[in-house]
Amino acid sequence: MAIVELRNLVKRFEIGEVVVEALRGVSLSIEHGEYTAIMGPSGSGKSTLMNILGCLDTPTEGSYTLDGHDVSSLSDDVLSDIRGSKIGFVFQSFNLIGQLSVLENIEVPMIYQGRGVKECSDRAKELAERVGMGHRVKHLPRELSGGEQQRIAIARALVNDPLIIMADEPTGNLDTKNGEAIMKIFDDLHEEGKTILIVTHEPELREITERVIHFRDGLVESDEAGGRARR
Amino acid sequence: MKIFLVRRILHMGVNSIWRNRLRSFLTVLGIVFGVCSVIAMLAIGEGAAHDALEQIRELGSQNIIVRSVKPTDTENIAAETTMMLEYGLTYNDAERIRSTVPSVEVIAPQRAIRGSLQFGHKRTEGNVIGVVPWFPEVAHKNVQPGGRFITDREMRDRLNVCVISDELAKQLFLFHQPLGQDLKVKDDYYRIIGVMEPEQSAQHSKSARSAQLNVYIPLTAARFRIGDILVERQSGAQSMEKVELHQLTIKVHDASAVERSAKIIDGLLKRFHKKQDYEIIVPLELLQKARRTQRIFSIVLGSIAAISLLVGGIGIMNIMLATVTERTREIGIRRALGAKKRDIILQFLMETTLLAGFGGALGVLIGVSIPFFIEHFAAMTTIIRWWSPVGAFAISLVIGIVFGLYPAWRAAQMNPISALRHE
Ligand SMILES: Nc1ncnc2c1ncn2[C@@H]1O[C@H](COP(=O)(O)OP(=O)(O)O)[C@@H](O)[C@H]1O
Ligand SMILES: [Mg+2]
Repeated sequence: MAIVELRNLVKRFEIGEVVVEALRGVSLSIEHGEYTAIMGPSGSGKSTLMNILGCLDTPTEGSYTLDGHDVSSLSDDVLSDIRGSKIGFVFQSFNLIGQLSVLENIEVPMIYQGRGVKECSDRAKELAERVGMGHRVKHLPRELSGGEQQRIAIARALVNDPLIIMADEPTGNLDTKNGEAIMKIFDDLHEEGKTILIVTHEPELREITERVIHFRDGLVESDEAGGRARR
Repeated sequence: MKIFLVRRILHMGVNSIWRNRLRSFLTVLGIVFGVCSVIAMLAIGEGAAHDALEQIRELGSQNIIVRSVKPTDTENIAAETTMMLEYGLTYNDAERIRSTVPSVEVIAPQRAIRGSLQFGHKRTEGNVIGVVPWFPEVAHKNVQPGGRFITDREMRDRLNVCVISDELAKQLFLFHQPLGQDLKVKDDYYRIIGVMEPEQSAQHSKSARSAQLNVYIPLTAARFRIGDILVERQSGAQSMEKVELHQLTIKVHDASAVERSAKIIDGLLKRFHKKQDYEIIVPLELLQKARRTQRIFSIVLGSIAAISLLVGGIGIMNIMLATVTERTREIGIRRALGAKKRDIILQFLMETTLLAGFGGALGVLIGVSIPFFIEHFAAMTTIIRWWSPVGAFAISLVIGIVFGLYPAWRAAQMNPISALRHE
């Protein structure tokens, strides 16, 4: 069964008189364990799609089924729970909470799932180690480099064992070297069997993912097998 | 499972305050000042009202006080011609009131002259008051244990005995036991037989204290030794005054009869006094007037207090609004990571409750100590009623929560994406 199932998804933004149609009827499905890249020019609607997939925003029309449940008509509270438990979202701009230490930042999604103090800190430490940041847990985000911050954000996305990891241009704010290190982490996660959906501009990703979806003007332009699948 | 969540969220509220302690402190400053000024103002207001009421009450709510006053229109003539000015209440007045006004229970005439008081080589100026044996009962004053007041026999025999006020005892008899000593009053010696209790509404200012330097002697002795005529030399001219009695304290049998009796007494006196050389004071009326004044005073103070607390609340809201704008991204991140609206609100509720509670508590602490200092250094009576700190604290809490929570509630209503985009 597909984890994500989209049918004729439309998203319109109304800014005063002007109506922008960012998604104009997108249909696609993502299977368990798939490693998918979404590519396309700026303004083609990739982020809009990711936000809807991540339950951060709701579609104007069409249906979105996540893990067998239709999420397009759920209450805010239920959507919050889904964001916390089933989705691990990685942002381009890291979005760490500046006041909190690295460890506390990783703990945040667990807190809202009501997990115990000890459990939270153990798991957060474990994931900090996992992304190679075990030695910096007491630091504040501003004391870390961009690449290090993004590792923390990935660790945070993983704490609740989400069904799917979504990343919207996770390397967009990073230099090549750091970007490659981050991509390596996603690669490893895929090896472990995680389902990953990633928006990127980097052409080489085409080579490592299983599937590449091209976007243009709010529509899927092409949906093809990536380098890994062809191999 | 849920209890962990609530505890963690409360904990986050505490942490957030602690991480921003300076800003937190500045935020609550408005509340602190609001609360402490409310408490201090109310304490001063209550104290002033209490003093006024107490002074009137000491005059006695069942009493009517008639005082001799120098008629104003004859003043000039007297000064120019050195002829004797005769005015005021007389022994006949007292007798007439006693025998004709049925509601009168007792009547205590008194005479009061300024005079020098001396013990050893200590001298002072004070009030020499000729009184009757039942004066303490009528004037609501008591003699301190060990001493006694003037007796009927001493009154009849015009004996040279006296009772002194507590204030005078303190001034002249610092190292002596006053009882049994002879006090020189004007030109004669009087044996001290008692010391009065200190005044209840004791004023601490110097002038108020010197007004309480009193010597009470038998009225008969005062008449016999000092006489009714008072000679005063003023810048070469000599003026003479004849006043028999300075005051009549009339106690009626019931407080409800006070007003009516005062009218009857006024009518009676008018028949025998051509000039207006007396005044009638009805403490009960004063008391009622003072109560009305106090009520208005309380309303005004209450309004000022409410405004200052409101300003404090707006201060909190202002900073909270700024904070939320600043922290909208944080709220967006938390929402994106699974926080429900109510989780966000709970966190901010915790923060504002703590802030307002801390501010309120600090305000109560300072507000309660200010009256203490005022009492010590400004010699004013202050009274802190239990409801003033309790009420001020409760209101500060409510205002803090209402004003502090509104911005958080607004931020929580935002779409997580809009919150995240917030710059
Ligand atoms: N919140 C919004 N309000 C109005 N227009 C928006 C909003 N978000 C995106 N858009 C518009 O939708 C289109 C798609 O944007 P986006 O999904 O961010 O593209 P991409 O991520 O592919 O660069 C753009 O034209 C953008 O201006
Ligand atoms: Mg984008």
